[in-house]
Amino acid sequence: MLNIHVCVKQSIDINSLEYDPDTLRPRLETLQFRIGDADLCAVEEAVRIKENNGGKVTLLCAGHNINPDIIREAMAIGADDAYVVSDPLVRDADQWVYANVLAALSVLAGQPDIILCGESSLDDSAYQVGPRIAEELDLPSITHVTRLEVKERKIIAERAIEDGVEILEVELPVVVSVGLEINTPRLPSLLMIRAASRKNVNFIPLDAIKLPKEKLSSLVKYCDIKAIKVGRKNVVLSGSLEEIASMLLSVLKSDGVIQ
Amino acid sequence: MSSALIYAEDWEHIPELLSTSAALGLSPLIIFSHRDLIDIKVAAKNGASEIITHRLEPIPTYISRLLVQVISERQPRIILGEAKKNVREIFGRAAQRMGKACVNNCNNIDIAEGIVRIIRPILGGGYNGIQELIGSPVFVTIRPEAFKKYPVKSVEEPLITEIDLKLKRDSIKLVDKKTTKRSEVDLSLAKVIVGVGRGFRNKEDLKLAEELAELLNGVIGCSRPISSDLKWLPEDRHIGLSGKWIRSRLYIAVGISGQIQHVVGIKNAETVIAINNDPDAPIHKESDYSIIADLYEFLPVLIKKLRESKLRSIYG
Ligand SMILES: Cc1cc2nc3c(=O)[nH]c(=O)nc-3n(C[C@H](O)[C@H](O)[C@H](O)COP(=O)(O)OP(=O)(O)OC[C@H]3O[C@@H](n4cnc5c(N)ncnc54)[C@H](O)[C@@H]3O)c2cc1C
Repeated sequence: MLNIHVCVKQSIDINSLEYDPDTLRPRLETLQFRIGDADLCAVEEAVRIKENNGGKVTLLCAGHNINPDIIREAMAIGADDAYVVSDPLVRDADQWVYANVLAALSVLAGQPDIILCGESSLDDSAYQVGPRIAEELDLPSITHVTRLEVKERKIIAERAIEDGVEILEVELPVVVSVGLEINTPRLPSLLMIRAASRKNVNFIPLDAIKLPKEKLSSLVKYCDIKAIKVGRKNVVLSGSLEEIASMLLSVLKSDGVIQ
Repeated sequence: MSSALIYAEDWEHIPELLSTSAALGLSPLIIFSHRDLIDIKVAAKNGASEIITHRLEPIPTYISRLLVQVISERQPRIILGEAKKNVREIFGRAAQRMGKACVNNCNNIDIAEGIVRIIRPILGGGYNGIQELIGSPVFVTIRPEAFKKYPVKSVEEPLITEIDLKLKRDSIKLVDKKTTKRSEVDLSLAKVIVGVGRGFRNKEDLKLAEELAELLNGVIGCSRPISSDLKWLPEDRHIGLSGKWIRSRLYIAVGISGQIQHVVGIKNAETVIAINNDPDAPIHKESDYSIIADLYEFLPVLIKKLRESKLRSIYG
């Protein structure tokens, strides 16, 4: 029986986000939220570990205005319960604050054998919450894991790094950050979605995890957010394939790439 | 003066990391690195006054402990490193241990009135996040875009200090490592790039793109699934948020949908051409010229035309 915790972040859905063409700032009215891709891979991996070894999967989430339905969508993959801190004090959290809250939630949810995270969130792409949680709980960490196998009280992990692949053997308990390549999360069936709607999402008051004030105060502050706008010509070349090919050659020629 | 501590996994960009630190007004410059990697000449020439060495295997959990010790002793203002996977993990752990700020993948860094300010890609890479880091020291990993040139004063002979910490190191074992060969080309310097995506059905079909690239004296790049999932091309050929940022004269995206995370890597390409059979693919909005066609039908026609014409790439 393995106790598996998975950290999921209610992230800004970057595909529906639009920006103001004048200020280049995101338009807040287009904000929508979902669980990020890498986090969903982490949930899927946890469920596969449970299926192969037996165990329990608990989701952990820290944020502000957390929508229980978004948590339930991730639970539908096969998680058993969820512990959520949803508090205005966590609204402008940086990874120091997120890691402190998630580590405390993990302690509260009880004795994990494996804590899984996505390698980075969909919106903030900070690439550090997994290692930070590991440090906070004094556990070993591994990141960018693309294959995972549990063998007795150990995991064997494949890790993709810039110049190759590492195989690591780590004793449990461990914090693992997974890459997008580790799996393709299943699309929950109607039955699984219905089952998830009855599962418990435990909203934990921030007071209950008793963090000192400095562990809740962000060290990284946003001053501004601006869209990177590139003016492209957006010309569609149309005609027969022959014609398009000729047009393209003239474009390349007038651009000076070929002569 | 406030010092910079540079952590280096490899020495390829040590000169740039040193000059960037110097440009930020930091001094002295200290390098922390594995014993077997150090190159005293490079360090001296680029202004490092001290090299602190360790002998640990490349396991971030352990190296981060040593890093914390070095920081406590040397009290740097900034701990700087290249935005690489091990470095980010080491910095994240050490920052947590010390209760400090950490930011990754920055494409700009400055210090003004004592405050460290960075810019890094957020929201899939479609936006610049401009952030201030509170406290000292702070941990920062930077992308090549953030490297600053600065006329550094060379040092006669850097001090070499070996650090050793008796760590219990039995919970993580590096059992094996398969190193993949690096590409001979650096995509971020290439003038003409043909990018391939999942629109290609088989690895063999990439020949079509290779042929086109060759005719244009260009090179092949790809979307992340092509290198990381399918492993048809090496990791260092992938373009985007987690890969290279190109600044080519010409980028031809073939069978690439144009998700935000890919597009961030092509924003600095001068001319972008998309070949994709889906008129609604987001890549068309990110292109100067779009060709809505099946790549399997269009590429052979284009290649034939280009071959028959007397036109040749100016890059040769
Ligand atoms: C945290 C994070 C980081 C990421 N980092 C990166 C990154 O650095 N780089 C990156 O590329 N991706 C990255 N991604 C993944 C990214 O979101 C996309 O999944 C990926 O770019 C899609 O690759 P693709 O365009 O090759 O494949 P797809 O999205 O599957 O697109 C294939 C395209 O080919 C077209 N096509 C199919 N058949 C044909 C045909 N016969 N002729 C012409 N066109 C055809 C289709 O219309 C489609 O548009 C990241 C994702 C996350 C969550």
